[in-house]
Amino acid sequence: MCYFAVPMQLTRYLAFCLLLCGLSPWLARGQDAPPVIADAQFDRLALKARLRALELLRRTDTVSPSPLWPKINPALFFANIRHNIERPDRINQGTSTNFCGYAAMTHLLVKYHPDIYLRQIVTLYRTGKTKLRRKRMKPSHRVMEAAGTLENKGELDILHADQLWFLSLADTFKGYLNWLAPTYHPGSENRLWAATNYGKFNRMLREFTGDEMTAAGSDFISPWVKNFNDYINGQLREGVVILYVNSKYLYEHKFSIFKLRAPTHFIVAYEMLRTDEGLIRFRYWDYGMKTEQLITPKRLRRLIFGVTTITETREDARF
Amino acid sequence: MVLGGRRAFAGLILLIVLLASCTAAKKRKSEKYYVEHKQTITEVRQLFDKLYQHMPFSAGFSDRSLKYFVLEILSDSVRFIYNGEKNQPQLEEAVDRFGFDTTQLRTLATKLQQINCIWISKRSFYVNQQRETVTFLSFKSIANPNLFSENKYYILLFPPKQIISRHFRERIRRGDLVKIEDQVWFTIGSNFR
Repeated sequence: MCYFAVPMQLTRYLAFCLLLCGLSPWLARGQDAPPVIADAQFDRLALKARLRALELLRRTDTVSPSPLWPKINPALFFANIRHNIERPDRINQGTSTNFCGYAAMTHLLVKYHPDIYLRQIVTLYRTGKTKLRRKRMKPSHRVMEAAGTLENKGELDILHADQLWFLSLADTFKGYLNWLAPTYHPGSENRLWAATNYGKFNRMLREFTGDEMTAAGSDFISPWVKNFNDYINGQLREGVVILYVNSKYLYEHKFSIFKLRAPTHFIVAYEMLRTDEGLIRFRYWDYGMKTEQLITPKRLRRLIFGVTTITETREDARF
Repeated sequence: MVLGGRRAFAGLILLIVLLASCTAAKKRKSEKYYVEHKQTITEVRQLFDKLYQHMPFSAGFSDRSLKYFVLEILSDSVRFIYNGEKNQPQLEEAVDRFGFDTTQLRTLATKLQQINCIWISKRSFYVNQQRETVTFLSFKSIANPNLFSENKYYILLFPPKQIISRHFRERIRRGDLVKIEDQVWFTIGSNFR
């Protein structure tokens, strides 16, 4: 479970953030009618890009270590990159980390722009920095020392490229949730240092891909939508949909008296179908695989805080 | 009338606070809990391992009365989650579709109920690049006196062998991980899955 916002910590920050931000981040950008692009078109682009990236990887030096990242094992690092490009669905944030936002963003980046991902991560590994559209990624010395040492995070323990990538993303992109924990310390990957708020997530996506996207929702209030099932289905017809959700309602249980109504997790929506029994068959991606479960419309309403749709992806995205 | 209503409301609040404080006074589970239920816990683990060999899964309950069974089945690329509260017919259909032994699964659910176990699963991690898998059982611990803080769960861990990693050693040193007997440990966590 992604606990980027440990409830007690979040409660404290909530008042602080409300004060600073008001309710203004309740945004609904992209009023212009976006071009309708079927998912099959996205997938065709993804396949071509994947072949290009694998060819690029074949021509890359995958043997020599980088002195800048002393704990990174080159064999594990490049095996991880290859695996990511071949199976972007398998990208996993690891157990008990707050990397869900970075993992969801990377899942989409690797799926639709694997060549951009490959170029950025290899440059970062070799030179310790890389240039994005408007930002520069230059992880701190602490992060460089920590990459490759994360333990007890499940599969992430041996995924050295993912460790380097997620830590560097968390160190580069900052949102208001990170203000009180700006510096990396061992264990920060489980704390607010690694948290991602909705605005930061959308900024990261734009920064890497330049894809056309629309966003509705915020960190505090759900989008003003009458029927979420119809709305998300409509968005799924337009493109790739990422949801900012409250994980307490994603894996529902009744062991807690109090459930904080706040978003805590990023997932990628793949399918949403209404069944004859009035339930919603919901298929989504998180934690390195797709999950399918049947949920009620009421639970869906409580679940969602943000809906981001990539409406147009560019095959020739370059920067 | 209004004053009377306010007094009744204040009385109700006081009663809730008193009840909450009584719950908080309850003793948290410790290593004794394992010793008391060792026989059933061992049977549960054996049954779970047997079913897990057929298909990886996690199981437990979603409510305090342990009435509604939850099954999380892991196929190669998709995780299917069924909750008996809202999807009982679909849960039964999935058990059938994935070829689980229904008798054994029912026995597992009954035994989990007997020992008040809310979740059983396996988790993997790596030590010196070697994959280690730990079976864990989560139990509801005492109700937290603070309404706004996370619930705490009593978790029993069953590593297959002696695990020596820096992370484990640190947790033992901090007292987060307590040894009960060989290859049986317990911890208190805020997450039961």
